[in-house]
Amino acid sequence: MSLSIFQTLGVYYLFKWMHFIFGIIWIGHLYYFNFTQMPSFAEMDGATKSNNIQKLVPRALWWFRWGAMFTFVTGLVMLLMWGNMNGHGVYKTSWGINILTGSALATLMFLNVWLVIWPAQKIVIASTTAVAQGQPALPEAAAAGARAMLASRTNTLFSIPMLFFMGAASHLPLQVGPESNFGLLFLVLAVVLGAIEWNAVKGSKLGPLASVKGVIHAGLGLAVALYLLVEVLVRV
Amino acid sequence: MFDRRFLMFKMIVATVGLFSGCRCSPSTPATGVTAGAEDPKSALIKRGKTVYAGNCIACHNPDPKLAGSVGPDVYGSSLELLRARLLKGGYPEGYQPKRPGAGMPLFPHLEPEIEALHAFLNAAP
Repeated sequence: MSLSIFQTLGVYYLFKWMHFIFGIIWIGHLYYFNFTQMPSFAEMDGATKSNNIQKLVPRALWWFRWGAMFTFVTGLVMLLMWGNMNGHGVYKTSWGINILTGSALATLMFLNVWLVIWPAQKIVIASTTAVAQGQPALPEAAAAGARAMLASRTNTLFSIPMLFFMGAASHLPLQVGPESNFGLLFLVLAVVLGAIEWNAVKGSKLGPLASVKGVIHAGLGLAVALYLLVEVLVRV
Repeated sequence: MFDRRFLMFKMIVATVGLFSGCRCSPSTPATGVTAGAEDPKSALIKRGKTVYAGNCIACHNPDPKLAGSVGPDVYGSSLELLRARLLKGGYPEGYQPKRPGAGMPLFPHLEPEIEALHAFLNAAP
């Protein structure tokens, strides 16, 4: 008897299973930070907030960043395995365009976690701990907190179209064929996503991302806009 | 701390390399594709497998011999059936559908790939 799980597709599926679990850990914490923690912290008194930043936030951030790491790694393995199993031309099919668009968004999110949010949050936690011990706050703490919030809101914004395209790869075939043009699509996606990412890393504009309602609406809007861009541009 | 992180990094690189860089065997026995066989027929079958994996598995099983979640098993499909399903909708005259329904979208953009798809779906096990 040969077990399906030990076939190549079974191994691929094991990575998909792990990808789902790590992804839930990551995005679950992202939504907790944005939809629950940020509004709650805004209403807490100083001592309660300080206590939470020292005891709750570091634990949540541990699950958050390692969830992001293993979601990224298992996703990368699947992406490369599928090309290896089915030929690299598969990246120029409906599956490929959907998954690469979703992966581009997810990769920016992963980089934001490890290179922006986590370093900034380390400063916030260190500063809060110093104040609790009677020492002065770190001067860069306020700016670090603002940067972490903007990057985290940007990740929430990206997560909505990211999940649309990841799901679409296996559930929504697009009109992608040998005649499809990918150059213009790549260019437009690079400009749109690059501008939003630049704001997260170097800019300061929160706009609709300032509120929970705003970031959800903006995420849905971005998903619709990117979907229409992909549908139209692969046919140009 | 550094050693632990370095070890973690090495484990991640090894995982990616082990599973993605390996020369995986074909996922289904239906292809008949073997490494290094690049005669025109093998190339056509390989191309068809890529087209199938990139467009059809949203509904059909990754192994075309098995029924999918939405669409039926499609191994052995004739050129006539593929043309009807992908380009016009409906079925060739006299064909008894395995799973009748109007849910399958048209794929006119895949017309140049039908021959490759047919080769893959009819490749010897």
